[in-house]
Amino acid sequence: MDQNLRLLFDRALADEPEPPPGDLAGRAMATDASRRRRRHRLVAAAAAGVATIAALGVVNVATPPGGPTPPETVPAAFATLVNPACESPARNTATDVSVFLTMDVTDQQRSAVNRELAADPVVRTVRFVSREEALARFRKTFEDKPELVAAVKAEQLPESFRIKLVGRSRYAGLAARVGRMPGVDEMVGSVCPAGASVWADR
Amino acid sequence: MADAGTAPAPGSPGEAGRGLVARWGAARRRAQTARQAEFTAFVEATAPKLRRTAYLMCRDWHLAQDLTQITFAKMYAAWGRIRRTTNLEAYSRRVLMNAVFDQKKRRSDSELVLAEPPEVPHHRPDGAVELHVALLRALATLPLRDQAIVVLRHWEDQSVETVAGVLNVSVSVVKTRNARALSRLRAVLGEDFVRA
Repeated sequence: MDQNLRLLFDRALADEPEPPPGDLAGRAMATDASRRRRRHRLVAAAAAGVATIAALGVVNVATPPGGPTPPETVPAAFATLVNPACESPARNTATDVSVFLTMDVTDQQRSAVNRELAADPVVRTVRFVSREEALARFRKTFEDKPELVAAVKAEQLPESFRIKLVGRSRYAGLAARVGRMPGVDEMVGSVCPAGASVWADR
Repeated sequence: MADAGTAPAPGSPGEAGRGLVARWGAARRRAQTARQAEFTAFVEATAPKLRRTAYLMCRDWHLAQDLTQITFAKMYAAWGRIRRTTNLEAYSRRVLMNAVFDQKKRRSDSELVLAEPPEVPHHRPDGAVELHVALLRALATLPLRDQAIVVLRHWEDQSVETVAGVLNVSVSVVKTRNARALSRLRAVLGEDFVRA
């Protein structure tokens, strides 16, 4: 190793100020707690349809369980049901990608997206997840919360394609190609540690 | 969780679910307390060095502090999974470097913020001090990924393999980029101070 370089770095660090008072760990945990609260609120609002959409401050006591939910929040809520070891959503690079289809996707659009993904050289594997399969997953994830499960119907969950990429740096190109196809609602990329999958069961 | 402000009609499935949610919540809180203690210990052990690495990458102590905070926040979000299975030190470097790269990208219109040379210390005109300032200046002219390689290899003393893992590039890329970066630093600082 290069002793001189190290020495210079050490010297460059000599003017390090006292770390500002404040609890790094505590703040990290507080950030996470508020992130979780947001996520739970999203899931509760979108999936349960039971009551308040807290984020909007709209109190809607009268909505019966399983009542209509705002469709645009369901994919968002569903997208959060991912392996917490993965960084998700990832911005520019990704190892695993979920392509959520719109709720009113046509057969033609779906197969066009499928063909595009299957032919794409950056895609290693691609798997279609139907509404029923999505519901099964949802049930499993929230098996401790029967009232959530009871409120969600397959029609409320989007279809999706689950993709593994050959290299994480190839995500941006794929997102540009596929993200704008008709029938594609949203692409969510995640960076997972080697060997992990974003859709691993909890 | 079961959202505050929710007031389902009596006898609705929401009410039955609530007891279960409460029990589930209590068990989770116990596990969480243990996790938090472990995480706090990790932060205390790791923070000083991580902050210095961040500083060498951005040459701004405030930003370094922020980047360190971001790194820990991201790690805590994944803590349940990574705490046993992952090489936590390498993982923290990886999260940090991604935060640095993100930061750079967000501010790409004002590149100066990151590339800014460090302030020249006020009252020490001797050569040695100048040299480390020159080093940071020269470092700032390298591509960001090369800066990361130099800092991880030559300040943190990480192995080529670890650096490759942190930056998600191949070992040979680390080697060639490192050699190129060193020769550039050598051009600025002189042969004696940067032996490859």
